[in-house]
Amino acid sequence: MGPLLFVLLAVAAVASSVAMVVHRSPIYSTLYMVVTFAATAVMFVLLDAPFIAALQIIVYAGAIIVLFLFVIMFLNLKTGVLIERRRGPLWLAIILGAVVAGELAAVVNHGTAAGGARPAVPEGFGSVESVAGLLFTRYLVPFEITSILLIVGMVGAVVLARNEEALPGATFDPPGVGSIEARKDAAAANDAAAASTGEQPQVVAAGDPSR
Amino acid sequence: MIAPEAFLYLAAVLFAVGLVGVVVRREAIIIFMCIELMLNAVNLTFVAFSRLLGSIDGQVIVFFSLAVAAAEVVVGLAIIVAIFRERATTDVDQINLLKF
Repeated sequence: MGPLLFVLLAVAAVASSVAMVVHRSPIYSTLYMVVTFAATAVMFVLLDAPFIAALQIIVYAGAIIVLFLFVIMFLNLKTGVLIERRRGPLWLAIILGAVVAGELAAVVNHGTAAGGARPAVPEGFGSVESVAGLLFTRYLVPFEITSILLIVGMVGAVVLARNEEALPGATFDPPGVGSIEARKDAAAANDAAAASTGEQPQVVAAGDPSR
Repeated sequence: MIAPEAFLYLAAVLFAVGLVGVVVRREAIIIFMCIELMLNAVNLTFVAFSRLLGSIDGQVIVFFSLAVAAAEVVVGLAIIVAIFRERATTDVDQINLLKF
């Protein structure tokens, strides 16, 4: 059961991550990323980290993916935009990836070859209690700094992505459009013109059944 | 029980895939997603070592890594949106100036 599940998850994770990299549509790439993250979450469970697995699902597969999808749809990337022109040969990048993977694998092989005692995990390893116990004692200061980081990130996103046009007192005046007041006046004039010619559609509608 | 080393090798492969994606793709959002993939691979390494060493500290580090990744995604996507408003593109080859 265990090894088979791991092989299944590994194949799913690697295949979906490769598909994520090579697929042309950002939406499909994001959905492949969900598969990769979900497979990783199950691996966290296999590694006795159920709390981190739940966090992975909530934060990555939930919040971050939704944010990516939202931005992709918000930018409304056209198909023409998606056609990318690659710089340089593709095989060079693949060789680079293979070299990096081999290097990391060599490091892992070297680092874990010595072995040593494998401590048996105690009961409740990776549970909410065990993680939170460490989080609120030894890692209390980093935990508080994390809250500051999240506040800064939130404020930064609002400042970066705000619409200058909608700000009160903003001097946004595109050529040929005029100020907001002028546009309101024009809209009001349009409404008045539509009201004065309101009889016209009624005449047409009344004339229809007689035909 | 699977040896945690297997997860370390898998994390290495996922990291390499993300790296190739960053190098190959030109769309800023896809590059961003590949960076997330690399972060995810590192998280997997942390959890695997946490299991290997019988220490819960690795999982706490992953907790912080998730918080940092969330903040990073929010700010990064806001930057991409701001650049798209300015330049009407997210192609990194056309965004090669710090000031424009």
